[in-house]
Amino acid sequence: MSTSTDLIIAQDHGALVPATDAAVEHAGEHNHPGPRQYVMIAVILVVITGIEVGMSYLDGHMNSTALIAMLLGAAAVKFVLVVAWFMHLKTDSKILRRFFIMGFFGATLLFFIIMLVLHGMQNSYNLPTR
Amino acid sequence: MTAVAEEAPALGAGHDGGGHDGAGHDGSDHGHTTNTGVSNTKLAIWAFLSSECLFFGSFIASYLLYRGRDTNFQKAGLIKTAFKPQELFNIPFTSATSFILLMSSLTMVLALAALQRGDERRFRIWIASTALFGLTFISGQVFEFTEFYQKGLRLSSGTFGSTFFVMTGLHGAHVTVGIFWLLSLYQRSLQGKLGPEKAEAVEVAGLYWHFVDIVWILIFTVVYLVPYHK
Repeated sequence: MSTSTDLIIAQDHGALVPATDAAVEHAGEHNHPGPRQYVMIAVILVVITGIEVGMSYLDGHMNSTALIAMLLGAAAVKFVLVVAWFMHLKTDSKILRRFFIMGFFGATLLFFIIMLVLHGMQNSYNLPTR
Repeated sequence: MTAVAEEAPALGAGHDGGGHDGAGHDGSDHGHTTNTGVSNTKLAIWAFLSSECLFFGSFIASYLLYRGRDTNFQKAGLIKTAFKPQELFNIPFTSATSFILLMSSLTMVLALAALQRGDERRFRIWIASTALFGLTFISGQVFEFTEFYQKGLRLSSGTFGSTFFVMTGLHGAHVTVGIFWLLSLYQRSLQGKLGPEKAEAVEVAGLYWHFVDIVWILIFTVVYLVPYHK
């Protein structure tokens, strides 16, 4: 939250004007990671992908539920890394983060609604189950 | 706290009397800054990506719902053949194409960083690499689809065929749109119309490209890696 002591320098006017939350967030947009950090993130992503692929060959050698949980966990870590670093949500305006989180939770909600509706339809039409 | 900015976003939208075409005061490609401090262009792409979450979410949900059920549909006489995904998939091949798409995200951010530094030559190298990686991924998908088709899998083969082809096909269509978008940026750069002041145009294309990548991260795990019931 801005206070009365918060200032932002507007270079085009050479004058000091009060900073708003939005202005401070906008300044954060120029705080993107550098190439070295991007390469490090990419290396982490490649390592996780390698582990994921390796884990997929463990099917039959370990508990299926644990394997699925580990695979989905690895995918979630990769997802968050790309969104936070490559898509700059870590440093960009909070409003953009809210936009994306809203869409993501909407998709999760839709996912469960579809599962529920189609599951209900399946029973109604007496389709075979697994 | 003191912050320094290149412009005064505190002025917000509407202070210039309106009638803007979306360009910034300095003629840059920064979409008209709103009173949120974020340009309209960036807000628009995030709103679009937010809606795309719902779009792909519904396809992934449908795929998971019908995952592994074709055997039962076959027993019930609803379909002729029940294809077993684990016998169709070539995991090393798809892992390689997934790796290529992942690397295209790296070259995309390197392209953006190069343009922001004003290094247009490196920008063109990285953006062309991104498009090339995307094209390789699509070629891999076309090869995979052709192989599956030759083995008899069709859109109408059953729930696996329809949900798999629709979901991965639509993802491939998104990648194809992204490739054209990247090539148009390359072309603009060659014409000298894409300098550091227009980096936001590249950032927006990059957001779309990374989104396509994260969708594939999910599809790759859910469709290819998560084991099927034997």
